[in-house]
Amino acid sequence: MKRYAPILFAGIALAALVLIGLIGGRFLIYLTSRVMILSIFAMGYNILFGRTGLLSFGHAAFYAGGAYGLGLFMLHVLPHPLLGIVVGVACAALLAVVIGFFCVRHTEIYFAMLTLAFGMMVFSLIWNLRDITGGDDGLVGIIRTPIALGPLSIPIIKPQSYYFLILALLLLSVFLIYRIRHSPFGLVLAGIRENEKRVAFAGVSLKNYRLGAFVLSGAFAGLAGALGTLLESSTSPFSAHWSHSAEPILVTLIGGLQTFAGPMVGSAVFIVLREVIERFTHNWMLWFSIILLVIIMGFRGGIVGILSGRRK
Amino acid sequence: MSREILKIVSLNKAFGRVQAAADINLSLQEGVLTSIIGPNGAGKSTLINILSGSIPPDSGRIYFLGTDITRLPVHRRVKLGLCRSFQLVNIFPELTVFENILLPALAAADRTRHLLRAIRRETAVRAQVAQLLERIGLQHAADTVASALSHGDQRVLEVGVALAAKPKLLFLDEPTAGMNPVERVRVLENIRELSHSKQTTFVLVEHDMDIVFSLSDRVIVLHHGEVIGDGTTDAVKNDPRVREVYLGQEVPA
Repeated sequence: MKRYAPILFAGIALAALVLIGLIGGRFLIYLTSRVMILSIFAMGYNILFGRTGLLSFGHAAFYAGGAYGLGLFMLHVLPHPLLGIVVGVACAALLAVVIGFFCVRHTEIYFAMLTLAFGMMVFSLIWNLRDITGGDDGLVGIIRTPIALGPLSIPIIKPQSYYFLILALLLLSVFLIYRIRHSPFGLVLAGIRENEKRVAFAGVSLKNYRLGAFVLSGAFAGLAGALGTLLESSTSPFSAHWSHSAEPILVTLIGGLQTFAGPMVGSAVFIVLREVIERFTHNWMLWFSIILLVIIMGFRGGIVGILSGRRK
Repeated sequence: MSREILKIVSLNKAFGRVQAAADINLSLQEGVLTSIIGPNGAGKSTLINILSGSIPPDSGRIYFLGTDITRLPVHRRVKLGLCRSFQLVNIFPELTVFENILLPALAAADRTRHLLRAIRRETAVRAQVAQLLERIGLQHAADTVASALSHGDQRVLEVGVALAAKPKLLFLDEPTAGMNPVERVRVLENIRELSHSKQTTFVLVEHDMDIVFSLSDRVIVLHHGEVIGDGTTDAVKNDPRVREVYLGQEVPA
């Protein structure tokens, strides 16, 4: 029974997501789209955070890498959303290679501070390179043109049809991240988290595998950024702001750091709670931080951790 | 004559004014079980740390099977076949016993770069891991999280993790400290067997003289970073300088 519980939950969640896409109202579809995009961001981030044990404060830079990569490509090169997403992910991964090259030489607080510094650098570059990035206006007017696949043309202009594109990419991401987690590479990442000194004595290059985790998580952040840009039809420089880097950390902690589904559950809770609290008060951050405090001090395993009843 | 597996040429290391390695010249032969002994602070751990790559020497050269490894990082040395175990338990605490062994075994088989391959499919490596677990007597605990093992079993696992990397030369830093007699016999039997089969050349750092003299083919005595005795167990036992250093400490006759 316990063994099949995760599969059962996954099935229910998938059915719910499809149902929302089919019969949900405009607002519900928009909100769920944001949940799914944040889920991709957070699940990718958790490869680095939960699996490898590295805390990055700079992943908004890769989100923005995906957002601006897609935006610039669609505006100036070719208005093809799928290619734009690919370009966005590639931009984010490339940026992660460059930034990661310097960051993975350090661990713990030094690693975290370096990612923060690079993240701020990317933000100020986007803010100041007005001619390219539009400065504080961001990029606007990115239209969800139909996806041309040979003779086929799939329209995604309607929120509902775009919703299913996001869902498909979420499923792809979940599949890839699941495979990575259960691969030899994933075991090495867990080993790095547990005892990096010993991993080196197993004959594994720490830096290369840390960088691998960094770039993978950066690429998923880029995918989320590209999808977010298409959802809003615009980008904002604040997508690169360091406060945005905190989002995947928060939702991972809420959902459960050492769990697979934690970041997804956390994303849903984060976005829905924010919507609900904002109806009653402008101080949503105050209320949200109180909830976060309770979870971190009382329920270290996060929501999924408690439900599965496995970890402390 | 067996070939030379490790060659150390005028190795020096000082921590401030303490000379931890003073012009050490040694040559280790393949298949010869060697022990390094010496009083506390003799520089035994420093020597292992330098040879395995954790700390760089001030001067001198190290050759492993003819290759200069003096400046190689730890993981490259392990890939070449030079590994070590630790005096303090140094395992992956939240991974299972099986995974603890699986990780270095996968690395030794060059399979760790596979991103999307299911780890369950690595049947060849998994079979090796099961075999090694049986060998060290931990097969019953394969799915136990390592941190839940008894201290003695963790020490056994520690040696197992080092063996899983399939080293040609393995430094064991006090391998039996903290083990109960049963575990101790099992680990020593393994060392003796593997050493005889010439799969792995062992270098032990030990405090327990019974183990040293019953197991070793060759004993090296360090004192203040200097090699003061080197030879067969009998030669070292009867060496006047070694007796002087160990004065007050029992040297079995």
